[in-house]
Amino acid sequence: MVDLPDCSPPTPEEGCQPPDLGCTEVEKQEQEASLAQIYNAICNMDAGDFTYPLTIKLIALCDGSTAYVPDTLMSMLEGPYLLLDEIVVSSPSEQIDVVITKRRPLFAMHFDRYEPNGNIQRLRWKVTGRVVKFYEFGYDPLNRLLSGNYGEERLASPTDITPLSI
Amino acid sequence: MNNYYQVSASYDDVGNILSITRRGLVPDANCFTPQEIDRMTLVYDTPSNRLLRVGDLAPTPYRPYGFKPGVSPSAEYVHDNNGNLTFDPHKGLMMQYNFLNLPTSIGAMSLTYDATGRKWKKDGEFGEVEYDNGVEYRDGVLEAIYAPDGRLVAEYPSGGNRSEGDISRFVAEYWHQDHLGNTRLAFADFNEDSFIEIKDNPSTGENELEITQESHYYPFGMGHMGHGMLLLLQRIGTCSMVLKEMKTWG
Repeated sequence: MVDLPDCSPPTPEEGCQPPDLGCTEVEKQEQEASLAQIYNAICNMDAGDFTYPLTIKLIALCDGSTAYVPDTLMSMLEGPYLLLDEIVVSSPSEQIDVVITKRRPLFAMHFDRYEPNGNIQRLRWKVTGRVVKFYEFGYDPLNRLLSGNYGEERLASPTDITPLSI
Repeated sequence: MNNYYQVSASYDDVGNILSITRRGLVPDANCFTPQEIDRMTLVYDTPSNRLLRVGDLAPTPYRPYGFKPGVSPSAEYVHDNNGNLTFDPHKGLMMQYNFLNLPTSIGAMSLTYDATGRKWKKDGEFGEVEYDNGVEYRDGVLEAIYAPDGRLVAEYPSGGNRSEGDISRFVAEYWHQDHLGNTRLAFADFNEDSFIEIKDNPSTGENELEITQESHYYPFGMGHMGHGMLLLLQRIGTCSMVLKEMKTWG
């Protein structure tokens, strides 16, 4: 069994903090606004408006989060960003569910919340190329596992912080 | 929380699991949809607390996923005096055990151990597999050499002979295991470029992917089905192409 990467403290090799892009407040706001414009542009497009193969960039933003942006709309993005990776979709029917960040472990797992008695409340894990998945556990008074609620860490839009459910 | 793979359970006073419900992704015309795949009730013998029956009341179309009730869903499990399962009605399998309580036959498969309980041989429809200190042979030919974090898989020329002199190379396959020892991810550097390719390049005919297996599990066991099969274009259709993923770094 390998040691599970934990975010406290980050190791020099596998830092858990995003690289500091050195954004100013103004740049942050401009970037947020430009993301909203990209978002609107996508909403006004049909699936047929995209040409294939379609390249989608994964970028790190000023606020430390990451976003997927189609290559053709990257010119609309304002402010500093860091290109993390890109994925290529070859046809509209391609089945894909990808989150790729470079220099991340291929597999990582983390128990990240505990009840006072030591019961694990949440288990998060990630396989490369996939979103972070998690279970939140519930226990009965005898500490027996009662339920595991499943979720994936993914956000629907730059402004919406509700987890996306498809 | 999309609860694609939600699980819940209940217990009796002595800790036997009385019920398990599971949701899972099942194939449909559009790819996969989340459905209730298991609504199991478990009945135990008293006073032995051995499992007698398992029923599954999930909606009929989804019942065959997850726990599979099989051809005789109301039949009972049978155990020997030591508590070993000798008949599984849902899988239709008979099992026999030796004096160490190790299975010597499971259905058509037979297993051979030495007196210390070390497994030496497994015979079945897959052929004869022999084990010797972490070295695995299939039908008398070297198959793989096992180590704690992976294995060396012997490669033979395609269409050629399969004898030890013909081994063209050994491919090192590595495993990431979780805290329970389950293999969660397997990968191998097939093209020996010291880099694990985590995606296929669609513009070439070859498959560059070097992740050979990934597994996700429910809290009470059993693997998830359907990961990675969501249509990206469904997201484009719902205006959410720009996906922001929080905590990517955390």
